[in-house]
Amino acid sequence: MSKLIGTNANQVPTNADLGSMAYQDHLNLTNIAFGLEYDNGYNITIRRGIGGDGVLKLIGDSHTTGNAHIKFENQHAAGATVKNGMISFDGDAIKQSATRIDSSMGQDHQNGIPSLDIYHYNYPDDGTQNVPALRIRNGNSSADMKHHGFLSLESLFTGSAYESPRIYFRNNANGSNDRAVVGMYAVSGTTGALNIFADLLGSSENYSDISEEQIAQFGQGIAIIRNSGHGSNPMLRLHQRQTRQNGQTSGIEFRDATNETNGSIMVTNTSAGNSSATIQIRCDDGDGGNGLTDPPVGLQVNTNGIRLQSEYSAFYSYASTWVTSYQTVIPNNTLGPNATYLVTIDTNNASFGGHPYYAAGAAIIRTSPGTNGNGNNTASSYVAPTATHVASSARWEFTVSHHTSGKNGLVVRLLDGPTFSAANGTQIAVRAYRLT
Amino acid sequence: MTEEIAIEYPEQIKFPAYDASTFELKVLGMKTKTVGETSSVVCFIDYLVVAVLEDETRKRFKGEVEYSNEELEAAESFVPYADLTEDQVKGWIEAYAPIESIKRSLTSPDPEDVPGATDEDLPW
Repeated sequence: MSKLIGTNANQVPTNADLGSMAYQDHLNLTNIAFGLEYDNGYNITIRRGIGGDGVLKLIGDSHTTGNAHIKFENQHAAGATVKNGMISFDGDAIKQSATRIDSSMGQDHQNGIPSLDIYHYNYPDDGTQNVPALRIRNGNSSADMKHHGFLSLESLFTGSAYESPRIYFRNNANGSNDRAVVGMYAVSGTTGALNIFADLLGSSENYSDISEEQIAQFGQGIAIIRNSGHGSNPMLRLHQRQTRQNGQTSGIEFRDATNETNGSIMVTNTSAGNSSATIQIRCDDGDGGNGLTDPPVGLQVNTNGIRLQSEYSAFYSYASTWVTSYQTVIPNNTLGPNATYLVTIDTNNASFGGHPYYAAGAAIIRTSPGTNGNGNNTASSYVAPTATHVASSARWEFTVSHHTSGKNGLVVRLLDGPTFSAANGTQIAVRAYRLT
Repeated sequence: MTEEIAIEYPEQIKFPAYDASTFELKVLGMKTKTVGETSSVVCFIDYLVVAVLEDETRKRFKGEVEYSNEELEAAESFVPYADLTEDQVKGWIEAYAPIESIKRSLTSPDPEDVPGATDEDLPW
């Protein structure tokens, strides 16, 4: 094409002068290169100049409908809906910045074919690891505000209560039936809940035939963990990762609306070298507080079974008068009414220093609703089989006591017990375990 | 004829933990009933005695005060339920329950404690 020379108002180029641009009311060119970079495979090649600001800038007008956009379209078959996609600026001229990607605005979707793909290619494997396929970054610098930049998956459908869009995590194992998809979504309803489900995928299955099997739901109303555990397989595993040591605890807390621990289930290791442990069920009694160990132990279980926690314990110094006189070891009004107690008594690992050295016994007693008179029901005294260190006739005798306007207590004596002076001062331990 | 046997009241041992602890009496709840012409008469009190040991461990004793109808009918005074104060109810509990024995109970050794012994890991 010849050059147009001159700036006169009446200067007219001839068609011969215009060449391939003659008779055109718009540009219809191929292989246009900006920035001195020519690629025969593309109609337009734009190369950023050194020191330039970018390679392409599209400016719309000040109205939403006039926003600049790039549209992608295939040459569609006659009579078919146009399949297209578009990248556009979705903001406005004053305060809003937003980029928008629309796909298949002409509808006609196909099961299993995403509207937008983000591919991360690494084939063949070049050995790199931990390369994100997608990064959504909150802010350009540490000065950016923390409350921006969340990821929101939203459902706009209002025809009826409906779940949120789903997130699928999908593997691609070797076998035909060991592929699986795990997904999650917010369920519909008046309270929020996240539903997590799984499905094993056959060799030919796709998103269109996922059969949801709920494995968990975490909601404001209830949390559910559900699986297909069978036989000896656990349905829930709480795995302590701290190095095992004697006294190490782990467990579950139950808190109320005031964030206080009502109860807990606590497992305590009893050896650093073995998996031996005790399990305690702890129940708060109104003292408040928090933590796994804050509520007192209500029930303890170990390999040998259940170990009750004493409700009341008292220690005394033995004297020779314990042989003949009743000794008040549980004061009146200490035990609850209408209750059943297992009461134990022993020398607390100590010795009388002579025959019978030790004396240990137990009794089960039932308290009355109330008492109204002082004294002991000696007619119902109970002599317990008593464990001693050597053969002996020493035996603990238990009797329930009562007093005016009160509740039962317990008195004991050690029949045929030691009367020598060395026995005096031996510690006697009494413990009451409430059974009902 | 019931055998007459003397009753003694040996002193309950007070362990060192007693003096190193602080104690608190809490009222957990009450029940009322109508006695004669009077309604809302307190007949039952749930209480808690808390011992805070030197290492901040908390030990508790949960007890109950229960008044019989005879006791309630014999009461010389009556305070309307709405006018009761916490201190007043605590006073009732302290008059009824052996609080000092309970405090000594809370600060006595646990059964699994072996005097002078400590837990050790195996040497191998």
